[in-house]
Amino acid sequence: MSNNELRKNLGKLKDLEIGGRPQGSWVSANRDILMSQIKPMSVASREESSSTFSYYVRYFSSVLKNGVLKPVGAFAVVVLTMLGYTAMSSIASASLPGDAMYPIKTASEQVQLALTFSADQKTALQMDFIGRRADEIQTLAKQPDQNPVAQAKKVSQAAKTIAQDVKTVKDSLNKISAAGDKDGIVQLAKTIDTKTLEVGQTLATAQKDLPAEVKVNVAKDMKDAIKTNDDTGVTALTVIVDNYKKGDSGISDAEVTSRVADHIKTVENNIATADQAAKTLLAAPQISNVSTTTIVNVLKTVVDPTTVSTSSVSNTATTTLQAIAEKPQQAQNIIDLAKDSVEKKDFGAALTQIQESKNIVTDVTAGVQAVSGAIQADINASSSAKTDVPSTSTTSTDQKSSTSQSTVK
Amino acid sequence: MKSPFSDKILFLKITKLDPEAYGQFYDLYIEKIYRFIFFKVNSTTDAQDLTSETFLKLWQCLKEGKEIKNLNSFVYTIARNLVIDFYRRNARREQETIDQEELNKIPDETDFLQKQDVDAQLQGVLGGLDKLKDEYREVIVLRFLNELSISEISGVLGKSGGSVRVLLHRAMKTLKESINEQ
Repeated sequence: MSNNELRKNLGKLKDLEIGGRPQGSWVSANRDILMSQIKPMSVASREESSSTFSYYVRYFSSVLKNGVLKPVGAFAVVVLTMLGYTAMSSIASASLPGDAMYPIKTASEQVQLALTFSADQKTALQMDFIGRRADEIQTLAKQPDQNPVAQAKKVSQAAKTIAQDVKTVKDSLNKISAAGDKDGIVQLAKTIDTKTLEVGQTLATAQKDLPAEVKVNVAKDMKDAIKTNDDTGVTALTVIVDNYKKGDSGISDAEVTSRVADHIKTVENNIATADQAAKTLLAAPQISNVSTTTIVNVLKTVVDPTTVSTSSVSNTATTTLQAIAEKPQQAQNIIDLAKDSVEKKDFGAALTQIQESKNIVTDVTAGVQAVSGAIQADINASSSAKTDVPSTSTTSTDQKSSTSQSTVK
Repeated sequence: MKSPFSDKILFLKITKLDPEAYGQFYDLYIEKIYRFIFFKVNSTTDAQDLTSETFLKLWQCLKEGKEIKNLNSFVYTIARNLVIDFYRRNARREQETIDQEELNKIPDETDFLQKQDVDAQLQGVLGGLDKLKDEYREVIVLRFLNELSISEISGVLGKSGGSVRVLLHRAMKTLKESINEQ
């Protein structure tokens, strides 16, 4: 057997189980097990690090349980009293807009900001607080028992705060960048880039989870929050790319690519969600019963005419929505160009394309959410009007209404 | 892997503890690591257990923030160490003393020629591999079955490129002689 034959035969072995090829069923089952093992590990570590108050509680309970250290209990009480303010702030940290403790939470944040003197630390801290607002919206979105009007008001309040604060962050970033602190600005831009991606994902999930009656009333504020957040994220990434191009900031080629790739991936996820939502809306039987004027009026409040042409806001409700439903594909085409730009390492072009694609998706998502919310609200209103009228066929009306709701959602 | 460029992105994501990226890493490495272990322990069940343990252990190392310069070498090192522990545990059970450094001599008596429906030439190759000492078998598996480059193998084995080339040459020569003797 020649050397070449021997190498060829060794190569053939790898396709055989006896040559060490694992069984496909085991590979896949083992993957599932591994993923289930590592996901809780990453979540647990994040939760552990975030809950400082629970750490204090666990620590003090363990100390006081120890018999030898019982006399320390009295001292602990004094310490606890001194820590009162911290503890109260920690408890208030779980509060939501509209809760009694919420003003303590925001006041505590303002104190923290006021006591932070470094401009870049202050900006990073503000990004943390923006993340909290996004989490609040997500929590509110999952509370179905609330009064829809009050819930919409709270969501709007948090969304407006995000839009405002994230714009402040962007302005600060530009100021610090202009001041010329290369090391500081790159680190800050990295933090902002990572945080804005997280906030964007949280807001996108919350937007999906919001009850239909709330969606229509918060569509504009949510869209503004998402768009301003995206804009700030892309600005941060631009700072990173600019410093990378200068070549003296210690940013590696792989890191820039990874960060740009993260944005592309997020936009692609949002495109898929927007596409699905638009198609579901178009397939809903209630569309034909809704007047074009209603849809046009709803769209006008949320859709940017430069992104979704006003000429498409015409004809029937279905054709209007069909024009919007084609936009995700357009956004996907642009993001494909962004991928090519990344391959060519033309990160500047990739950023422009990412921003363009993001704008289209944000508009489509907001438009579809608002229209589906309006249709749902319309169905709910007519359904409650019908149930007010004494009728012998109440059950069948409710069933029809329930079926309609599930279709639109 | 698609390209060294996409490797770097994947490794960056893994070091950021991205479970999805780790899933991709698993897909890329599962076959290689399983094969690497399989040829050392000669048991499907043990190879499966040790492979699972390897991937879990690597994730734990990443979580603990261990400095990893070369993920490729690191994952093979974990697998090697787990095989060492495996034999050590088995040795304790059998009340035998086995020197950790002499690990490469342990599976020499393994029988890779189970009742498999493979052609005569492949059976000859398997028989030859069976008779090789672990050090030779290991380098052949890494080079010709797992298709690692010389520099990657030198990272895994902790030897210089020259030593790996010499080792590989000797291993192939011995394998050929062993096949011809059959």
